[in-house]
Amino acid sequence: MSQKWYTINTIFIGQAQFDANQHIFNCALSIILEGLSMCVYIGIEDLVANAFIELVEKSQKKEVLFSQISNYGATVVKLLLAEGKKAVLVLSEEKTNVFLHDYSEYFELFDSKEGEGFRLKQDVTVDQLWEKFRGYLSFDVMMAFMSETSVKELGV
Amino acid sequence: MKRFKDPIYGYIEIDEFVAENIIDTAEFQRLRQVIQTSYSPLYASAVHNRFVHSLGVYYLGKIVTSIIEKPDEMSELSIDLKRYKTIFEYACLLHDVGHAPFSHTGEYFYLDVGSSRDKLHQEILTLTSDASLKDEIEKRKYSAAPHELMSVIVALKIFEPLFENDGERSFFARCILGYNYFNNVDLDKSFLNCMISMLNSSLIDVDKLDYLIRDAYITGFDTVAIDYERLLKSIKIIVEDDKCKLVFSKSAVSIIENVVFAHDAERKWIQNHPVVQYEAFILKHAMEKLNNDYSLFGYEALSKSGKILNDDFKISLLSDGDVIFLMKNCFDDRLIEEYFARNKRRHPLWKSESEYKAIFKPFSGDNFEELENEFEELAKYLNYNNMSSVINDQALSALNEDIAKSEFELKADNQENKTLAKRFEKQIEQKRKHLKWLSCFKKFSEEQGIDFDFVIIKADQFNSGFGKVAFDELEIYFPELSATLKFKDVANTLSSEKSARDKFYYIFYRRKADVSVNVKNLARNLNLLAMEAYY
Repeated sequence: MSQKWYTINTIFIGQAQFDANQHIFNCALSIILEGLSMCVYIGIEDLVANAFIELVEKSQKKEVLFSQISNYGATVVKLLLAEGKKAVLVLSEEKTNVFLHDYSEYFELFDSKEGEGFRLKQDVTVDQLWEKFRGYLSFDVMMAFMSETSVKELGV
Repeated sequence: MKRFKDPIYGYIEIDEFVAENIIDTAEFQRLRQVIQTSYSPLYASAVHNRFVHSLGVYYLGKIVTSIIEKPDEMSELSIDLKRYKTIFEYACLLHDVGHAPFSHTGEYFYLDVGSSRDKLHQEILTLTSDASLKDEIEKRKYSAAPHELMSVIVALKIFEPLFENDGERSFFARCILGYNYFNNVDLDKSFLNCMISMLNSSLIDVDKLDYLIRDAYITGFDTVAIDYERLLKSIKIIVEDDKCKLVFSKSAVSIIENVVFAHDAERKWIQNHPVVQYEAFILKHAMEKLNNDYSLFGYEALSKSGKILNDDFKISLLSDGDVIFLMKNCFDDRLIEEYFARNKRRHPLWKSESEYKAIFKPFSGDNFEELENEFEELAKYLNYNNMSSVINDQALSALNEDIAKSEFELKADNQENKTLAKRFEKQIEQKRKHLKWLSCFKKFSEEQGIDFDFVIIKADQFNSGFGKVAFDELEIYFPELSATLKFKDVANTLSSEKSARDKFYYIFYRRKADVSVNVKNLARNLNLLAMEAYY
């Protein structure tokens, strides 16, 4: 999928060159006039949920270590940066605690010899995760979450 | 002995050594130019700085060190308790010495690409030479706030002569970061963990106590009084299951309830006020640009030697004034203009959560949560797709483009994986729903005769450090019963459930003279869309 994405991007721009140019002009104007934000902010809920989508789809694994999530997120950010999109992971202990509380029907903590991490609760399906956590992702960001390079960091 | 007059605590007495070697240094004096809160747009008097806050935390820290003693059940500590109390006091004084300008807005830019704390952690490990800390950071995934990490680095570098050995440096760092000893924790280490929690925990600590009390006092915001002296003097360290544990005596229950109430009130009525939120939005934009153009947020700019920008000039001892100087001289955009000209700012369509509910609930009734979810998803889609919180033609255009990309991918991949194709289809449906919301805003702007130019901001952007849920687990000691019970079992406080899930949004618009906006139609139409999506 990730290989195709780069090809698609090129084709899309080729087919809609005029509209794309107009769009790029509008963006530039907006940035100058409005001062758009220059960053994508990735919250912990999106990072963890998308990691689990990939893990379950590819390996049926329902546990991921904190270190793996951290590396996955860092890789996602680097991929987006390579595409000209600056991204910041909004991670902190407080945010993690709030995340576990707010999404307690989906995720929980676990502890093992390898370390601590997140676990997907038994009854939660991939379809539910897609619906809850992918409906608002842009195509580009989703591709970064799905990319082989980032998913490799999850041990798959 | 030097004495500082403080409006809250009276005289704060400071040892001359501390005054001369810490407080009077350039790095500490910098904090006079770093505002403590972001409340001044709402409360004009809220211009107190991190300098006075640091002195306040130091004062409360000294109350703690005067109270806590080795539990009777323990044999002698292997550490020099008097010395470690001094280190704890230093940590209280220096806990914000590396703080970025303008409250917490810019601190995430201290981190590496990918928001990694690795580099900062590595620097701290080098400065403390604590191999155990390295292991604990990895295993426990410790992730202190960026300003805390930077404060440790600045303090250990600049004030290195204060420390006699690596053990002290490590304890100092742990106090500021809130990183407990975890490996091979004996009674001594668990005792030190209790001390660490008195400066940095998700519950009550001297940092939070000072800012709660000070912010209310300086702003003039009427809230409950917090009897900090009684609260801190109720602290006790006991031994349970061969570990030291920090508990509060039963006499503190009422004060703890007041702390919870004061925190909630500040969060709800000040931090979440639309004026405060919008200013934070503008400053975040400015900080992003500064970081993008100059990589400003790092040790270099905080130090006396400074960072050279564009071969033209140097920024050192980074403070609020430097950020304002750069905003005036290096940028030319509408949002930065709004920072200086308040009459050019957007205005909120509703000014509080109560008003927001009053507008929307008549239409949504029991389905209010579905509407809130839709707001959240729209805000996230704008962030991911447009790197922005702005709702305008450009956002509409970007969303259309994103949907087109997704549809193209769906067509291309249709034969390969039916399950995936179905998920993609559903995702595109959800994106079209967001597009409908944007179109709804556009229609609203046309009907009302205002610009199609809104900003959506989630009203919970502040990291208070309070773990509201964790408050339930606070331990209260009943000496007559020789037992500790959890706070939730002995006190009726505001439920922690609701506040953790708080996710209401403000919408800001560009006001026009002689145009009075009626938001009811927008509320009705957005509700209809939300119900359409769910049912």
